[in-house]
Amino acid sequence: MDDFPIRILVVDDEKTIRDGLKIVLSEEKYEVEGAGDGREGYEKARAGEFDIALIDLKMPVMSGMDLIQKINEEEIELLPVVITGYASISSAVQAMKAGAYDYLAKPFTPDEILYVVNRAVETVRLKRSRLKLIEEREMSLKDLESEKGRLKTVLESIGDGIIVTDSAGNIVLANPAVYEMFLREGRKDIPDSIKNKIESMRQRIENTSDESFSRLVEEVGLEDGSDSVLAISCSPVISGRGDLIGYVNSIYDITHQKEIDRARMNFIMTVTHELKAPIGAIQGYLDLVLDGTLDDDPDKVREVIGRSRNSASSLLTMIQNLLSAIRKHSGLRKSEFEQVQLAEIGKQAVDLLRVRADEVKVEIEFDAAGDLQTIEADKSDMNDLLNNLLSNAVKYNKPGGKVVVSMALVNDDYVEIKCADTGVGIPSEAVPHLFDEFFRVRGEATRNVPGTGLGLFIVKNIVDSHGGKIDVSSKPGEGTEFRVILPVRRKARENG
Amino acid sequence: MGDAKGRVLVIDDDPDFVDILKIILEKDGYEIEVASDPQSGFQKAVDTKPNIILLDVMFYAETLGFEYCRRFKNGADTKDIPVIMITSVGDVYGVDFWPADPDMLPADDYIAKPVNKTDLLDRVDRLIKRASGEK
Repeated sequence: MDDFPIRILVVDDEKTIRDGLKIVLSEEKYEVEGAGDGREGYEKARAGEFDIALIDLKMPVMSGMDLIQKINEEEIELLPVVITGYASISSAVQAMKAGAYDYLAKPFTPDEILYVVNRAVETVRLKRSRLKLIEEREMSLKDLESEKGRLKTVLESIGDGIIVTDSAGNIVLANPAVYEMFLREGRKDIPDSIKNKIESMRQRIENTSDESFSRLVEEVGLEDGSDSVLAISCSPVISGRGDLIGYVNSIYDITHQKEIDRARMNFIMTVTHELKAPIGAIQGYLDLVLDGTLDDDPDKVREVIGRSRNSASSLLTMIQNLLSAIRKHSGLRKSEFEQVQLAEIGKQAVDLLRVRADEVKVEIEFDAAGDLQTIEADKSDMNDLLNNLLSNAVKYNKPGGKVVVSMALVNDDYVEIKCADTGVGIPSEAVPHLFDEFFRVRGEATRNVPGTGLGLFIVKNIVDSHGGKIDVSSKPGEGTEFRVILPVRRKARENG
Repeated sequence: MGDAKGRVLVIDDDPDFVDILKIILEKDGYEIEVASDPQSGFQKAVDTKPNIILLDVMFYAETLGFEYCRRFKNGADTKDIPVIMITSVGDVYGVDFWPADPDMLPADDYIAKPVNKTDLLDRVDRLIKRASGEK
């Protein structure tokens, strides 16, 4: 029954007693060990885990009485039983007073010693099982304590707000995230919009006939003029007996997700729109040719096929630019800041465009100030920036027109790039949308200019990622000037 | 009205689309005027009193067309001119702009991009006839 055997220490200077007791007690499945004097008994009692010690009173080195006293003083966990040839009432009383559990006079029969030992063993077993019970109780209390602490810690460190209500809907608990969410910015209480939402969700769960109903998730705005959108997930709390005892509401900020959703929707909308326009044109022109509308006008047929061809190629460039923009957006290419010779890159961009500019009879003038040193920037970004600005300036120009590119230090910290053209200009209504993704100025003046609507969007992104600024001034029919300001040294807060 | 079947004002910023409308309508005997933005389109409508207006919804990535359609319908000089709105936004937004709810938009009719030739000519013809019959 008992997993642990009872271990008995026999402390007696007479070897025959030790051996005899060993034989008798071993038959009862007790483990027995001997010690020849008080000192050895003490060492063994202290080191080994004995349940009972049979101790002779009269021993060399340390007397039995001293041993018993030491055992008591040091609270060594064993039951001392005195066995002595000096059987006298006074020594017995003295030993009992010193802490002995029992007393047996020498000489004794095996039955006598077994009777005494068995009584002691019974006590040891009782004590053991009582200890075990206490230990178990303490363990579960300890567990509970730490479980509570764990829960509290977890609750307090959750980034989502947690509001617990009782079954009637009264708020009984709110974690620090709730206070962080609502109570800063001068708010004194959880906003009514949130309270109302929690209450309406609670009522809906309460009124539902579906027993398995486990969770309700809804979105709510803060109604404070901000764009913040929160999601609230409300779950009923069921006790062990199956009673509904309250509700847990977890509240998390989904503003950012909503923004991403909106941006994604916007992206899909504009891409669809922009891709549809050239395809619609191609289809419309082809219909006119196929349905015979243009049968009597072969010149017009050639013209519309030419326009269809233009639409097809602008569609293709658009898709290519879209792919490279996505590659850049998705972080497949990261900006690497280094010391860049801006004038050098400007010169290269001009050279690259010279041929095309010559074709359309546009003159390019490039002027980099002598004191312009290197700036800390991403080289490939600077390439894209200048190529896009310059190619726009050439593309949207007029025959005999001019493009003037200049770069100079504004002060020790900033450099200014100007790109001015004598082109078609930008209608004022279009200016606010100029840097939008896929935006293109449409009209008679730009009808035959292929473009994707991504160029200036990419330019703006580059300028932003370098902590710079871009603005534009334009007069329709006269020309446009883009002005880019870039920091000479990378700002600390930009991390690539 | 002269020799033409009627004068059509097309307000759209997509030159290819305008070109296609022009070919279709001119071949059918209409006279065409073009404006590439709604503002100048409005002025042209006031000045020349066309028989019908074909108005695009999207300008500069904004649905300015709706706003101008209302302006046409509220303007003393333009309120009797039928307006057909041309749109491809319906598909993009997943919203139905067809006249299921006539109060939603004041346009007389709607037509989707890319246009079907016979459908376009039918609608233009019908609306011009209806407008001249009402007078």
